[in-house]
Amino acid sequence: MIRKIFLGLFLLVFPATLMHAQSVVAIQGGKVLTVTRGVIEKGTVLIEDGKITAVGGDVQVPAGARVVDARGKVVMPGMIDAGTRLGLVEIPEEQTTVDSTEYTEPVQPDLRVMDALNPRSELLRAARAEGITHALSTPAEGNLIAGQCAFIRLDGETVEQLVVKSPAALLINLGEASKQTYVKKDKPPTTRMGEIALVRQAFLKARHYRAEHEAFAKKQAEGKTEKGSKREEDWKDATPPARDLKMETLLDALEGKIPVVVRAQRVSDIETALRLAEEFGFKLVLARATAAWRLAEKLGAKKIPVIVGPIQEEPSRMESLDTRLDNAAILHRAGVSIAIQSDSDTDVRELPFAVEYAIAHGLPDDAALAAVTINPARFFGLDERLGSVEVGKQANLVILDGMPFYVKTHVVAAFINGKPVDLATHQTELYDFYKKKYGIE
Amino acid sequence: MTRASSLRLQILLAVICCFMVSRAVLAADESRPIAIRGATILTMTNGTIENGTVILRDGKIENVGKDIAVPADGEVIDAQGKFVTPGLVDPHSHIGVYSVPEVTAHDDGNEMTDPVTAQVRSEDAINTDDPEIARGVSGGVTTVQILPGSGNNVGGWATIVKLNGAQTVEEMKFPNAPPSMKWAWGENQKSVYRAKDKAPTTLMGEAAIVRQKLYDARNYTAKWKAWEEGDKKEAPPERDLQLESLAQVLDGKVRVNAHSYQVNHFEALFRISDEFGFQIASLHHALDAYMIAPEIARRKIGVVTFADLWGYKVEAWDAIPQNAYILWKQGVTVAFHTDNPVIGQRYYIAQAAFAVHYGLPDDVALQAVTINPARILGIDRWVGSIEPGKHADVVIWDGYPIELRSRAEKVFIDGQLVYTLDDGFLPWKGRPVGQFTR
Repeated sequence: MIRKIFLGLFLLVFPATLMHAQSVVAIQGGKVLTVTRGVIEKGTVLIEDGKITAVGGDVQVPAGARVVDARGKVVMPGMIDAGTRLGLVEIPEEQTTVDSTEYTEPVQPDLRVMDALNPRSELLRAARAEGITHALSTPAEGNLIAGQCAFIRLDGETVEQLVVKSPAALLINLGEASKQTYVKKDKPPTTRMGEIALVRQAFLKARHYRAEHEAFAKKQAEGKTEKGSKREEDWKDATPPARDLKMETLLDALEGKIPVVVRAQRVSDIETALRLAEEFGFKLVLARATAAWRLAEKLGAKKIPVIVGPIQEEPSRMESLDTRLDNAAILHRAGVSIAIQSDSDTDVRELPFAVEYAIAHGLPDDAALAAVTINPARFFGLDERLGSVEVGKQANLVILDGMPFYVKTHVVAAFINGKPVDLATHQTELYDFYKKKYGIE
Repeated sequence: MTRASSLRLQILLAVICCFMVSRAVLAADESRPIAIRGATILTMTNGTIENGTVILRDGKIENVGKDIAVPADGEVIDAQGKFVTPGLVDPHSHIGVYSVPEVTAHDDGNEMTDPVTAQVRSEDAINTDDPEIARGVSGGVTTVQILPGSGNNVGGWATIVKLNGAQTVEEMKFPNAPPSMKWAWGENQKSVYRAKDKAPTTLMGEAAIVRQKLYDARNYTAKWKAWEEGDKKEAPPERDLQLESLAQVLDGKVRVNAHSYQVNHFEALFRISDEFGFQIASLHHALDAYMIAPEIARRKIGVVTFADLWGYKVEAWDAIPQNAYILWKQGVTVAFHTDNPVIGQRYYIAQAAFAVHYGLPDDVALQAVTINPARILGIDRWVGSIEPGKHADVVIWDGYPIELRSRAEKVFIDGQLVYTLDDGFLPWKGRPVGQFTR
């Protein structure tokens, strides 16, 4: 009888302990590139409830934990692509699948990438199969104040699951593309002068909007304090100033709640971005920044973060004639904090190769690693949550069969928020089918 | 003879002697052989030679091997720890017809006024100052085929050139290269002519237009033949450059490079070439070629493809990075291309690297940017491998070329040093416009 009770008790309790232990994943014996705390040659990373709970060379693996053997492998944080159109574009040349180009007016801070994201996009699968677990998704160039970027994880059934942070930044595009759009429509801006006049006017309008709302709030507050007075009567009937979504987003930028990513290529456009940031006091993140190497010392001194890329940029425009493969390296040497973007949709998965080019032209390996992990996380205020292998952070991890940024290195497993992700893509599925059809090994 | 005049004579003689000596030295310099010594030589056709030597003389590869004596008068380049490959051959580029920057003035690649423009020639549009020439060489590319664009079903004549930095197209042209023409099938032509509300707007339209033109060319040939064989009393028929060009295709004298993506494009091309009895030399882009690899192998058609470009339009949606691998396994001759400016000319080697990442063996991937494109273009007698007698188009890499961390360090074209990592593209050194090789 007692034995029976004991057995019953055991059966009742055991599955619970087992389940708890099984929810712990131990990635064991790999070379861990923590990014922020150096390299652990034979390290173990514990994952529990989507978070990293232990990292080190002598971590005790709880009994019953699911062990992932990473001996001979490399463990690093999932890569972050600091500039993509992931989730917004499926087939770039098929307009029905493109949601990144609301080219109907040049000042659209109210547009939200989040409202157009497609969690079922094949492009997300393609990117994460190469170790990219997160990305900034932005509107396309071609509009001046283009909208609110979303920082996304490349795994989720719903938009809500996809979005890590929205808005993560406001995007402004300076230079050729924005004016080209409106030259065709015979509307401003058709010159760089026109572009900047519109940007300045928009920010000034936002300041005025704030003043209006503050004045109303003040009146409201005063009215409240004088019960029964005429002022209270006035306040009761007063109509508050209309809400303006454009202005509210610009205010978030002016108040430093979100950074402003300014895409600029040639020297003059980068200078303009610096001038605007100084005038309005917003948090500037430069992107694309083709000619940034010419202003490296200045950017370093001002501590302006720069998102470099596409690394293999061609001198295909008048504003990109200053392109060179050591842009990232020169900026890094000048003390600029850099991130790397693919600036792409279908080619996001080639980000590691682009990083390899930056390394070939002088960017140290550790700086390159930071440029696709902790640095972009910092730029968007997410470095407390992701971007490195540290206790307490989200378990966004990639296991590789060699050191990152080598052609012959492959992703063998990836975890997003502690969940193993499927590495299959539209391509691997096709390949598997035809391999079988033609009996190819 | 006075003393003074004798002195003058002596000075004159001395000057002449000096001049002659210096001329002789200069002349010797020009024909002085170059010995690249100690490198790992990836020959492409005869395997890898560790610690080997290549001798370049008079613009040709004189010798290659492990224990090759360096000629007494040879200039020695120590290439210990480096890698040597033949210059890369890009079978599909628009260098010079779509120059960078891509401003409207540089738009010379597509004569989009008629879906059949067999009469136009890329050689008439090539801008020899295109910065992509210097950039290509900085990536180890020495020979490219310059094609008209894909706006038309029959785009026009191709030109094969060396990226030697010459000022004229005439000096850049690859000597004795076989005639070659651009054809194109699929979305691009439909969208070009749909915008003009003209045919073709469907794949049916594309086939009908080309088929009719080929019949016209056949009739044209017959008309001329009748006149040639007749008494020639009447005036000869009027010459028509478009039909004359197509007639050469029907004669089997032209290598047809057919831009195409999907199986239905390939089949339409096969059907038409079977009907008119000519051979398609190569399918270009051909992202879905893997789906019918055995049929392409049976027809002995080469494939020129991207290693890893995917999804930018519907006809590219089923592209897989193992396309080249499956084709190679089925016995198809596969080459990569940049389609510059789609991919920058200097990043051609990355095509081989991407393919290796997705499983293509290293040697096959390197062949796909050297000897295979040379074979597809019919210039493999001269370039594409490190073999005695071939053009001295040679690249010294500072590391294993498949790794993108490696860079071309020195590039020779026809035996001339045209690029160094430190000094950039030498033929353009000192020009006011930058060299664009950083």
